[in-house]
Amino acid sequence: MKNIFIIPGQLNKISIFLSPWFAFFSFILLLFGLWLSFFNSPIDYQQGNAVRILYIHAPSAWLSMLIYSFLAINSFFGLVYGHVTAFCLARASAPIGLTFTSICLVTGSIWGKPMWGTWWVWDARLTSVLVLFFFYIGYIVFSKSFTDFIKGEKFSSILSIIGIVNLPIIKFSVDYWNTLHQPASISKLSSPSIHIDMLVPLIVMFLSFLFLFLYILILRFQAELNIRKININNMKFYKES
Amino acid sequence: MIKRRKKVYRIISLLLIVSISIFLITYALRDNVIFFYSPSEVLEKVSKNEIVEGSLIRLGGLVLEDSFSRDSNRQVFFIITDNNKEIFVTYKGILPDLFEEGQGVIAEGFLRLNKNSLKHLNEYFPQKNKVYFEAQAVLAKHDENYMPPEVAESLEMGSYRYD
Repeated sequence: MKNIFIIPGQLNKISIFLSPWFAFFSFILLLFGLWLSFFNSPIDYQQGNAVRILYIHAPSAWLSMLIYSFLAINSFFGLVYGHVTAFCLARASAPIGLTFTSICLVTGSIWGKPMWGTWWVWDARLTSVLVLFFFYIGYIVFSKSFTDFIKGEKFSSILSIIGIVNLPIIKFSVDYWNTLHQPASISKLSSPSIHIDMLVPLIVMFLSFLFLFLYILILRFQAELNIRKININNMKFYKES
Repeated sequence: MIKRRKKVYRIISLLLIVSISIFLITYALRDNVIFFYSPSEVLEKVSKNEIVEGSLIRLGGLVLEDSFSRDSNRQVFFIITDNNKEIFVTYKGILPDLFEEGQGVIAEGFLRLNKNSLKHLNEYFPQKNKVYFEAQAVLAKHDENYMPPEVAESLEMGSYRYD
């Protein structure tokens, strides 16, 4: 079982088997979730129809943080154990996380204008998510800017591990400091502060985005494995000549 | 194996150093990290002379019930409260959709000394308040509760606006 995640060929085989299923689940859940969120969920008592942005905004925000922790954990295992698959998974996940962070920032901005009255403010939550965005960009740029790709892998992994400090800051920024952004609705275990009719489309959209992430991750992972093979061949060629 | 353990220790110590430095930075800049002051904090800082007349600050709290009024020049007046202290606010401009009495609100602007020229202010605070707030921008802050209007009505969560 352990070998499955370490030997590139094994993981590649499993991912070829799994990828159509992930694509299928993502598509079905996306259709269902969009139908729920646009036609079969109630308006909010304060925000009216603008609350529907929540069903895109919150899942992509959760995924942007989830993917970053995935990236950092893979970088950690890559650095410590030198697993090829860990590095490839980390590199494959970075642009997907960057996309979800941008979706989160853009939809949040579109939501902020009618509700708060501003596109952007420099409060703790918004700023820390922007820092996450820059960490993704930094990771991608760093991993591609070395001629010796093994060095690039190493330095970008260290950068991504440093960035994990930002995740608790994002999570608790709304509790520690006064912010314009409201506190968390879901993780309050004491009393659910989101109505069940709104919670269901939110969860469905989150699952859909999660399967979409896994599907794109597999496609990109296979590409990264091949890119790595090419890079290693090139390096051998340069050393021989 | 020893090399691997060394690597783990290095990564952990790196993380520790980074998180401690981030903590120290945010602690030193805690007055700048928070987005707004509550009326109590503002009045406390005024008494300590940390905020003087004309400083640009953000003031946040709830709009006091029955405090909103509008004069003939389309200037609006309301009181921001944190259920402890109250500050009178003047503003001229477009209010956000969510603005209403009892709603969370953040005003950005200048602190002014009361020179007994504002009729509304003196009606609300006869001879007791020395300062008022001249807002340049007003932002609405909503809470983390999401529910349909019917549920809100049955829970009596204030007035609802969508029929």
